Amino acid sequence: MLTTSRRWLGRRIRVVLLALGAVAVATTSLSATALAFGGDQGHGFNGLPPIKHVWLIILENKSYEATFTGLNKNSYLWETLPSYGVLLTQYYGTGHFSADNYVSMVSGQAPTPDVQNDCPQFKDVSPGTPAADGQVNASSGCVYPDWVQTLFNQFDQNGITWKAYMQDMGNDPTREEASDCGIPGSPSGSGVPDPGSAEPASSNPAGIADQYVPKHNPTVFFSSLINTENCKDVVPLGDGLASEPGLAHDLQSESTTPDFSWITPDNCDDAHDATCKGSNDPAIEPPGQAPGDQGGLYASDNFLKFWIPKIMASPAFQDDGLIDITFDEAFPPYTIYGNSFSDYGAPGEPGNANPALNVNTDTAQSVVACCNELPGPNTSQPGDQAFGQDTTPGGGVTGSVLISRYIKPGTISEQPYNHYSWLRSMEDLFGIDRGGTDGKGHLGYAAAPGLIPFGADVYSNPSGRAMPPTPSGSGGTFAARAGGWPVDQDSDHRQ
Amino acid sequence: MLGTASLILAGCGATPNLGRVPIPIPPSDPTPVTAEAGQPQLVAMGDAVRAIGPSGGVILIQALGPEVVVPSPGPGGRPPDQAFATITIRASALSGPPLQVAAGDFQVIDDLGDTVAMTTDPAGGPVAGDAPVEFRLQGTINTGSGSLTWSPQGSPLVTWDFDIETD
Repeated sequence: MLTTSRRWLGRRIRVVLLALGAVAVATTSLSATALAFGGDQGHGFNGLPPIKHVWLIILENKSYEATFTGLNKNSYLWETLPSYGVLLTQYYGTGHFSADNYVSMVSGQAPTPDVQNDCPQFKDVSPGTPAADGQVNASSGCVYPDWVQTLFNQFDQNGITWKAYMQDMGNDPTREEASDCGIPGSPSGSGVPDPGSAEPASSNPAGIADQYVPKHNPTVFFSSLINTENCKDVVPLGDGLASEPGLAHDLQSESTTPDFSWITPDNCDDAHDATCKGSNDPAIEPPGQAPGDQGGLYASDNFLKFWIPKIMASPAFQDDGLIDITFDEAFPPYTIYGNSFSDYGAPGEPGNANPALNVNTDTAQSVVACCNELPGPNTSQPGDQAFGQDTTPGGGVTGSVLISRYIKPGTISEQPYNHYSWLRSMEDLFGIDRGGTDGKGHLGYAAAPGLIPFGADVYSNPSGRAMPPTPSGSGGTFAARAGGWPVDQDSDHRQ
Repeated sequence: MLGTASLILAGCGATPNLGRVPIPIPPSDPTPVTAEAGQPQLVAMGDAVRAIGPSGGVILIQALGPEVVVPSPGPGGRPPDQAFATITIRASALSGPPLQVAAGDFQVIDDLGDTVAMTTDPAGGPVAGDAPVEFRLQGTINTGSGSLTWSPQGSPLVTWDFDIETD
C-alpha cells in the first residue's frame, strides 16, 4: 500500500528544527532565516526545487523535427504544452531500437545486442558479470541479474514511493502477467520467444485489443524488480490491479499519489503504431475497440489531451509536481541537426567503410548523440547503425517537454541532455546521494564524470509562483553551455 | 521572540499560496490547410487537406496509415529493415466541378530517397457530389521516414510525411 514518503516527512522535521535553532540567533539573522524558509515552499536538495511528485510519460520513435517543428498538425504536444513549460530542443535518445532506451533511463546500463533488438528472446542476460563503470557484460539476453539496480530500487531504498502505469497491460492475460510486472513469462533457461507486439481484439481470447508491449515497460528487464513484491507497483494505467489502483484513482489526493509515476501509453497512444490495433481514444475502455484508428502523433495527442489536464489538476501536481514528456528514440527525419550527404561515396570521396552503407541519402553525419555518451562493453554502436547510418553513437534528437510551477512557461533550453542525464536528474531531484556506481547515488552511465543533469535552464522559476502560459521561446532561451546551467547551491538539509 | 518564532514555524509548516498552475486546455480540432497550384502543403500522415483543383473543384483529401505488417525479426533478431505497408486515401467533394484523384498520381519515397513501387486497390477516380473515393496503396517500404506526394496533372499538391516502424 502507498504510504507517506518518510523522506519528505524527515526533511520537513529537519527544516523545523533548524528554524527553531535560528530563534536563538540575533534579530537580523532571524529575518534572513524567515525569508529563506518562508519565502517559498522550502528548499530542495542542493539548490534543486522542492519537487515532490514527478510524472514521466514516454512516447515512441519520433525525431524532434517530426514532433516539434509544425509539420505535425496535432498541436497539443508541440505547441500548447511547451507554452506551459520548457522545451528541451537537444534531448537525445541513447540507442536504437526501443528497449535499450528504456533500460538506460532507469538503470544507466548501455545498450546490449539483444536489448537493441527489442529482446526477441525474453531471457536472462549472459554472462551477466560486472563490467567497468557499473555496466554488465551481456553478449546475449535481456533480463539483468538481481544485483543490477534501477531507479525504482533506489526509490525503495530511500523511502520514495513509485508506480509504473502500463496502458492495456493484462488485457490478454495469456500474453503477459499483469501481476508480475507485465512480463511475458519466465526469463530463465531459454526464456520466451517473441515477447509480443500490439494485438487486435480478434487475436485475444478475451475479445479486446491489447496494445501493451513488454519492450516499452522498463521493469520487465530487471530481476531486481520482477518476481518481487515490487511488481505490485507496476499496474495497468486505467483500472490498476485488484491490489493496487490505477492512475485516475491515485490522482485524487496527495496521499494517494506516488512520489514518482512512470507512464507508458500503449503502442497506439505512444505514437508508435501509425495504424492502431485497437482504439486511439484513451477514454474508451474495452470492450468495443476496433482496429484501424489513426495512430502516430495524432493518437499521442489524444492521450495527452486526456491525461495531462487530469494530472495537472491533481492536488499533488498543484503542490509541487513535475511532468516530463519525452520520447525513447528518434526516427528519421533528422534534417535539422546536421543531416549531411558528405559521407556518400561519391567519386573522390572515401565514403563509408562498408560500401553497402553508401546510399544517396546517407544520414551518417546526423547528430545522434550527446553528452560524451559511451557505448558500453557490449556494442560499439549504441544506435545499432539504424536507418543506413554507419556511425550511431546514440538514439537521435527527440526533444522533451517539462511542466512545473518551478519552470518558467514558454522557455527553451538548448542544453544537450540524454537518458543518462535524465536518470541523474531524477536521482538528484529526489535526493538520492549514496550508493550507485559513483557512491553518490548515480547508476551506471548516469555516474559518468561531467554528465550534466537538469539545471537552472530547466528549473527557471525558483519561486514556484504560478505563471501564465506564453508561446514557446517568448519566455527566454537558454543556450547550450559547457558545464551546463548549475542551480545555486543551497545548504544541504539532509542528514 | 515568540512572535518571530511563530513566523518561522508558520513559514516552515504552512505552504504559502503560490497560485494555481494553469492547466493546458486542449485546442479544438485543427482546420484543414488548403493546397492549390503554387501553394502545395506538407503535412503529417492522417491530416486532411482542402485541395483546390485547376478547374476550381474543391475536395477534402486525407491519407491514413500506413498499416504495417511487421515480419519476424531479421538475422540476429534485429528488427527488419522493411515492411509491407498499406496507405489509405480518402477524398470527398466539397464544392465545384469534379476533381480526379487517381492512384497513379501518388508517389511514395522512402527514407533512403528511393521511389517505392506501390500497387493500388482500386485505382481511384473522380471525386464529385456525394461520391467519395477511397483506395489503398500498398508496397514494401524501408524503415524510417517516408513521404507520400499527390501530384494531380503532374504538379505536386500535397505531401504527407510518415514513419515505417518495425521495432
